[in-house]
Amino acid sequence: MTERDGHHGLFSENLQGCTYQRDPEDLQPTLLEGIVEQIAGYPAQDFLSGAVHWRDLIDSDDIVAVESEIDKLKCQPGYVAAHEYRIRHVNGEVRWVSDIARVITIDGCDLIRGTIIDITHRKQAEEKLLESEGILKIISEQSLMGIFIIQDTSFIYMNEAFAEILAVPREDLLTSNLAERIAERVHPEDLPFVFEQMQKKQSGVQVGQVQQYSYRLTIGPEEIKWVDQYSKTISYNGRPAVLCTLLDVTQKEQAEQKMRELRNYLSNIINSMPSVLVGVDPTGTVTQWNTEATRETGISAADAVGQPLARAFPRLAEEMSQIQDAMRKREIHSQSRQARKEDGQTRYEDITVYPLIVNGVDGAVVRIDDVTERVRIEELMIQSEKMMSVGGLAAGMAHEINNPLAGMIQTASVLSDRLTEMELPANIKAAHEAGTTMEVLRKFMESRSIPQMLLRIRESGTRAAKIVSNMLSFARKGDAEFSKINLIELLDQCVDMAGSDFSLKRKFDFRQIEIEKEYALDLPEVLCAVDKIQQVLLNILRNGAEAMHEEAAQRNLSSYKPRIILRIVHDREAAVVRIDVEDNGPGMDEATRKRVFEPFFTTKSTASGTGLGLSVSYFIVTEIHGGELSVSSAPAQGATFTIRLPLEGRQS
Amino acid sequence: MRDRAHSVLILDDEQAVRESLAYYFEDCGWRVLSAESAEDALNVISRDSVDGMVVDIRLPDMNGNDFICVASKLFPTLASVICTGSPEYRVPIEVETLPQVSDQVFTKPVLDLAPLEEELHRMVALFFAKP
Repeated sequence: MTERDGHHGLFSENLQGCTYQRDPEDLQPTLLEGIVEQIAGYPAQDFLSGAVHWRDLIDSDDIVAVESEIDKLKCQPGYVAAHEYRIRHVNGEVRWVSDIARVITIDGCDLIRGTIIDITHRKQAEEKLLESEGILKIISEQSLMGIFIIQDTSFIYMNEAFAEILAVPREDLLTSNLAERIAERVHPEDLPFVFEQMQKKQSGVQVGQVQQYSYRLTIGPEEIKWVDQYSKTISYNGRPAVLCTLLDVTQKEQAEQKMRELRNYLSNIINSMPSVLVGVDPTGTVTQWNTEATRETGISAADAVGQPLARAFPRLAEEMSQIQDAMRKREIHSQSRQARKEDGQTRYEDITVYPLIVNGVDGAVVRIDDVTERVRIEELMIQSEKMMSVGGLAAGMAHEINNPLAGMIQTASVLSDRLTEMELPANIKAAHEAGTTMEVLRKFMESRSIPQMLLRIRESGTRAAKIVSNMLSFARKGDAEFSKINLIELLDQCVDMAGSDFSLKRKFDFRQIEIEKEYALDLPEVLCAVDKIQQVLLNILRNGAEAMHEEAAQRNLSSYKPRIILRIVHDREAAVVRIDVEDNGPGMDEATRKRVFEPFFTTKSTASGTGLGLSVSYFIVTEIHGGELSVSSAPAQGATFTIRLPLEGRQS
Repeated sequence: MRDRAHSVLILDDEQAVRESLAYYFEDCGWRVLSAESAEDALNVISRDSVDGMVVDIRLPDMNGNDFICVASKLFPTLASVICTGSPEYRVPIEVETLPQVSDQVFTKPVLDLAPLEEELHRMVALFFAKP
């Protein structure tokens, strides 16, 4: 023990090592002290006796390195070999040892003296450290997320992903000024915000606090990246720094942008629909409300969504059962031409309920279309067809009727001449030969009302002829002469004509009617058949005057002021001029209104007309001019006839 | 005014029409001849001296247009006025170009016969002087 102490007083008892001494030529120790048994599992005696060779314990991978160290010790005077290698413990474990040796000379003889320390624990710790460092490095460098640390005005660290997101080489970033870099890359609109956040982060914010914000980077003239940044204040070298992670969310942002655009686009489509579109969930709560629904109800989408349908759209309250039914049966429910009153006018709408069955999302969409115009046009079409068939029939029978009418009227005409023409030589001669005079005959005729009776025959025949000729006009459209005319002049002229016509023929004076004119300025000229349109206007004025005549007869004239409003409007969009003739006569009920243009339909006593005036007018406007003639009226509310004439005449 | 009675041929297949026109022209001092078909009418104008005609268009067998064309060839100074019951009637070009046929077409029923008689008289006067 004293010898050991004397040799190696350096080792304390708890040192995990041993000292040895050996011949330079051999690895086998000749002297061994310390805890070699703990290191290698063999007692020192086994080595000294040569039972176990140290060399045999050395890991085969390390043996070359160990031998090269031994060579160096031999060849290089003063060399200190310090190497680490693995040995195999008797129990099979691998142990790391540190072997530090040098050559000493004792009594002129070279010896190697060294120490072996078990460094297995340290090695294992080192390996673990290396391993975790490697992982950290991988995490940091291979991460898709940008990672960087900033302190004061410069980057302390950044990973490759960060440089890639910014599209700037890492070396450039590390050497450049932080503020300059930020100013260069951050989108100008987001720059003040980003600066503010970064400054806040470095000053006064507690270590460990995390912040998240999004901003844009300008990479090139065309390229913008959206990033999400997470910042955490850390302590680096005893001073605050900011650890940031940066995630490129451009794709997500673009997808969201697309979604937003798509959503806007879809809602634009829904809102541009001329139909009312209202979505409801299974409980009948409004989920969707388009612009037309707002227009129809005066309730905004914001106010309507979330409300029960019956409250948001009271008119649809009674449709609730239909909606429930449609959702339950998964069938489309439609009701067409639902009539309703609005401001005294009947409007028609189609109500369709579409159950939402895709994706199993229950609910329904209610669509309401105002089809008033279509219903009106259909009515007009039916009207038109009726008239065409009358026209076709008339053309076929006109000849057959005209011949007997000619026989009747012309014979009556000659008959009248022969019975009443006092001066006709043949009459005088015949009377004389019969032993009488024309004078006597005239007295006889007059006492027996013969001239009046003959007149009636001619009048009746003439009316029949006029009916045939009017009916024929339904079949003819080609022979009208078209020219550009000023409708104001024409209408005024018709009012004058109606005035003279009525004051002569009827007790009721057209000039008692107050005429109000509401003519639009800058009316364009209209291509039309002047005499035909004149006929139409006269017919309508006459019709109104007669209706008001009846009204005046029933009411006290002093309290009733007959009035006609004449209105001419230019509808630029439709390239149409509209003429309204509005009277304040008795008006008509729905049934009359629907039939008013029908041939031979009349509410007047038969003596006063042919029953074709308005039908002919209708034919002239629709078939000859390609326009529209319609009437709106209600009992006790007067009637308004509306003529729409296309500016450029009939398009065919 | 009239030196001698002009003669008129009324061609119409409808008896009442034919007679009413015949009576009227008679009362106006014309010598009246009648025919109810184009064939009859050709016989009449070949046999008798006729100055003017009132011609219906829709007739059995030969129609009024063809009759006028044939008659005009035979008697170039024979004037005529067309009187038809077809409101759709348009004068065909071969008739329109004949100077002895009046441009005025009368449609049955003729409510006032005077203008018809006056027109035929005017036409006859136009051609009567010519050989």
